[in-house]
Amino acid sequence: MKTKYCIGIDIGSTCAKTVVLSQDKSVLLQLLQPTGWSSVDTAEDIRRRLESAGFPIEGGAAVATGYGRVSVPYADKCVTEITCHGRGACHIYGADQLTVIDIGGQDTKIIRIENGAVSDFLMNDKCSAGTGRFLEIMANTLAVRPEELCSMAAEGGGVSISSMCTVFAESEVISLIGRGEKRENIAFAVVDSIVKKVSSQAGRMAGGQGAVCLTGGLCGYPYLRQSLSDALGCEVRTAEDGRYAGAMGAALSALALEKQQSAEK
Amino acid sequence: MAEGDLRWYILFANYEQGLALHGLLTDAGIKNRIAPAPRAIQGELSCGMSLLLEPDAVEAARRCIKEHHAEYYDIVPLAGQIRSRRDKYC
Amino acid sequence: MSDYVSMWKDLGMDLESHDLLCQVLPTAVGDVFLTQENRPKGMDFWDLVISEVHGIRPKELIEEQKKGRKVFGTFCVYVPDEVILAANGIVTGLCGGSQFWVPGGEAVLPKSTCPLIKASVGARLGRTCPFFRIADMYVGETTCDGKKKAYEILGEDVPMYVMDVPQMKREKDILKWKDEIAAFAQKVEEFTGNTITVEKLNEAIRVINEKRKALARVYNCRKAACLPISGRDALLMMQISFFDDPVRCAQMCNKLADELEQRIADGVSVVPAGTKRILVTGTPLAVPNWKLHNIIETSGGAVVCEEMCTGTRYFENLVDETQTTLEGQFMALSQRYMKTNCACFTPNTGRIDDILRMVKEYQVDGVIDCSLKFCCLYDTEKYGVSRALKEAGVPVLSLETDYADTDAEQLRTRIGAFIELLNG
Repeated sequence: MKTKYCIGIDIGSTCAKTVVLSQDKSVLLQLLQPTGWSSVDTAEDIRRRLESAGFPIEGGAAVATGYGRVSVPYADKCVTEITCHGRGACHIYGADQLTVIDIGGQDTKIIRIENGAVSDFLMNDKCSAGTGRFLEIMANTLAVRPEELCSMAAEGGGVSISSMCTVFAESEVISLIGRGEKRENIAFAVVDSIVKKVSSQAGRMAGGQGAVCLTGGLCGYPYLRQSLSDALGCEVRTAEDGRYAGAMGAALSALALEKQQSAEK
Repeated sequence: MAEGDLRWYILFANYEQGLALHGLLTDAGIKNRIAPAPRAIQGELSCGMSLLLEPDAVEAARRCIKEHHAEYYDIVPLAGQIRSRRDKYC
Repeated sequence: MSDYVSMWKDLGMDLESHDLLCQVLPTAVGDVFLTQENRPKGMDFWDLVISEVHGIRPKELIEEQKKGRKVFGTFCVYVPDEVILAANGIVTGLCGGSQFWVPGGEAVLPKSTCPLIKASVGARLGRTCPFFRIADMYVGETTCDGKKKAYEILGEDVPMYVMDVPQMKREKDILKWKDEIAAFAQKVEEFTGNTITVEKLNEAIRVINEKRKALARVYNCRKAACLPISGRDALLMMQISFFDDPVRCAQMCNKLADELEQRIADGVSVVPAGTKRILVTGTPLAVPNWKLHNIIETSGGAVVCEEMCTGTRYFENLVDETQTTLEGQFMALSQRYMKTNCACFTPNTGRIDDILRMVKEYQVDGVIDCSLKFCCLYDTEKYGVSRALKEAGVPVLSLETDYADTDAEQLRTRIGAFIELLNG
């Protein structure tokens, strides 16, 4: 049976993203949901949602990615999020020379793409500094949502956080609150800390050709993108579908897998 | 066979016995591997060496032992010992 | 009470704690080694040794001690085995490779010490490793700050001798290392009560050279496009070679090499054609540290060479066997050992040359440069290593890890992505 669509599932530490692509790579469906505490349950939920949207898992090749990729029993293959983000970003940004910065829930990746394929990558260590989780925790401490924190940061300045460790940084934020520092200034310090960490990581991968683009959950925050552009000294691009880059890459991998399998037959 | 499946371990009082039987089994074409005895079935034995058998080799191994009056302590089944991606190191 | 248990008791070991270690080892061996199909028959020997790792060899050592021989525990490939052997001493490696011993080490050392040092100290102080109990004297060396300070602590519990390894490789440093070897020889003579003669040292040099040649033969087989042995199995062989009798070690490695050479001739490979060939470089992988190799080889790669102390640094370069005076022999030893490219030296560009050479020799597709956490020396060298490899067009992945299992999934993501990158 010739399949009509391909499925990419990206189970991240915070959110699960699903993309269904047609054979000509146009997007048929995008799903976004919190991963929750069980990626197994999330995978099952995705299966049901796909079915009710008219894309049963049996009807198309499926590739899973993200840290929960091993918890998707019905996937035909697992591909790491690095390869998927690279592929997805190439597709979304229509480029084959690219530096991708993906700020995810629990890790930050810098991926170099040459000729449409990953040529090098860097991931942060076992530490949440410079990740979405860091932003989330600091937003909680300030009693705002992460996107509010980013907009507030645009109005602030003059304060900085020195700790790289999330736990210590949080206590710094609490001291700043205790000192009566303006929330906007604290928000500024939080974003500034992420930007510094990410840009120093990206700096180690410097010298590549092509644009720099941001993917992952934070790419919809204009102030973050602007600060990152300033820190890197070049325009950082974002796209509406940036957070689906991993799932998109997984779906493209599924498409390739399906083609390879039908070629073998 | 699947990774977590049931396998059989031949236990010994000492490794000399184990090596002797390993030679006999191998000569008889019975597939067996030298493996550390899982602590759970080792009991009071301190011999670390055992011989690992797939289920379909157990009967042949028993016959071989009987034929050669080979010394051993026990033959014990145990599941879930072998998983390449468990990532439990020591 | 069975043989081994009474032996462990006589060694003053903590039996209860030791039993916990005995529980985890079989599982890890099963997962890492017995999952592999089509292993060389010659691996039987190492399967036996690892199954009885705290039994067979410790018992042999104790028997030799009863005959009056002394056992020297060492921690570094710079310590010359030849000198100890020439005085009828026995060498056993002592590097700790298990997370099991780390908390014991952390009780006396800073947390920010590398796991190899923490495990080594923990194994001694926790009394859970027979080799650490058996050794009559420990021989340390000044290859890093963490070890230097840890030896002071170990020295309170066991006779300790520390050799001063130079930090540079000028002519005067080679002379200095020769003097260190001579001073060590004197210490070994005093401790064993045996005199080191030219004849005995020549014989010891020959024995250790034969062991190096045998190890090199196995590694040579790994250069073939048809890969006759997995990285995991080769690593186990290498790790055990630090503990074994050098003559038997050479015999067993030669026997394995015979089989591997036959496999190459017959086209028998342990991996499917096209499997990406990985060179691992960096800090040593002391037994039973198998995490990195297992993750690489269960993620679609094959390890074909280790440029590390538990690898090529242990056996490359032979000692000149033609010297006729002790002075000449000590110099020949110094010249051979000073060719080993350890990150404690500055500059250490020889290591980069070695890596680039091995990439060609072993037909390597990608390099994984992995250092133990808190090893400042190898961590810092990653910058130069990675730059040189990239200039040569060789993909490289830099990693840092310790002995804990907790980062396995992160390592799987990085290594998996690296192999996907190699596969294109």
